[in-house]
Amino acid sequence: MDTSLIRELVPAVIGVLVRRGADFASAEDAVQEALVRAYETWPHDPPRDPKAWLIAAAWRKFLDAVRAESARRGRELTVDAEPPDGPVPDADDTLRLYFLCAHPTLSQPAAVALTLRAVGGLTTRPIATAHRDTAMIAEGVTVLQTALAPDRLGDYQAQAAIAALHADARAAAETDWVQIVEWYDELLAIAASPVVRLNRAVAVGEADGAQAGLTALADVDPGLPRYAAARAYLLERAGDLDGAATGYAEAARVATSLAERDHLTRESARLRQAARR
Amino acid sequence: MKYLLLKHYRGGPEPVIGYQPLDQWAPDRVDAHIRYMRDFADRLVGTGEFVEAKALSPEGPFVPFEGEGRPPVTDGPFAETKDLVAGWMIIDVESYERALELAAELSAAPGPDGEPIHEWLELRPFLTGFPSVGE
Repeated sequence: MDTSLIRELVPAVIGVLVRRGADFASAEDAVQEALVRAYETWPHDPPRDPKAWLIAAAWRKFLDAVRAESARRGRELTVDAEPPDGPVPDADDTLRLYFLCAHPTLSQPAAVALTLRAVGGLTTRPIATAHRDTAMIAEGVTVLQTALAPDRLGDYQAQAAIAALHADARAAAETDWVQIVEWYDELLAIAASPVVRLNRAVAVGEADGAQAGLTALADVDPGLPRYAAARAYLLERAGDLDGAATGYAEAARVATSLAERDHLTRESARLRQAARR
Repeated sequence: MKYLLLKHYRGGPEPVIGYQPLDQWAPDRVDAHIRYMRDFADRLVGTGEFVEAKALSPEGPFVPFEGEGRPPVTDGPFAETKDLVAGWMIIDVESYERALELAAELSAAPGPDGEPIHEWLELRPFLTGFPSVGE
């Protein structure tokens, strides 16, 4: 077991968890638990990518901890705690943590203590022994957490989840539309907007069929940009080629760029021809 | 010398006056028409004669001044579209003859039957501030 490697990895893993929305203390606890697991399994089953392994294990521990509390803390925190598993970012957050530890609002001793803890990988006790002041560390942790996760609750995370699900798919047909609809539902609950409603209707059309998408579209303001195009698209998929052709022509009339207008005009022409057959 | 090529919705002279809107054409004719416009602009970029091209939304209101502090009461948009401007291209050319030549070429974009649409293009010289002296 390479302890120096682990000491190097711990701050980066904490950084990833905090960036994903964990609070600093919980992230640290989760990483500690993941390390225990690593000590148990690595000797006979060494991971190919120790950092990715630690992040995945710590994130799971963090989610477990959050879920245990979630009955009390309710729906919003659940949203916060369940961003999708994705590829582990290759970027190292250590430098970012280091700069944040030197945040000008921190007193110098607090900054030093915090740097030792967050970047150096030392635990609170030896640092406190050296400085004899845990309050400073607590102060630093608060600042660090605020700076790293300015708006970790709510719509930002739901949007990130949707973007990640789109990015995960190699082609539109492989997209996990059902899960995307679920995230749009979350997003509507947190921050309803006409655009979210429109996007959700398109996603519903992919997940549950064009008719369901058109039904969802009934809740959307028809004056919204791209409403006409979305409706035409769903009409085509529902088999109403005439309606789709007229819809695309209408969308072309209200298009806001030439490229968009050309595309929508072509779609309309294509469907008129298809409808004649 | 700079010229403005103004494209209207008025179609062309008899007997080819007017034609169906683009979305009623066969898809490959739509493509050919759009490609012709794009190629024309690209070619002028190559010769250094292209300045700018813009397309306009097909309709918009007329807006008069209604007096200080009073919101303008808009008029239109109107159903009669043939006098409305659809878009423009600005060219910078050596001579009036060259401007005519290019305007005619743009007016030869393929129509719904694949033949040139012969649409009217309005050619308007810019006021440059300098008298333009012939040879």
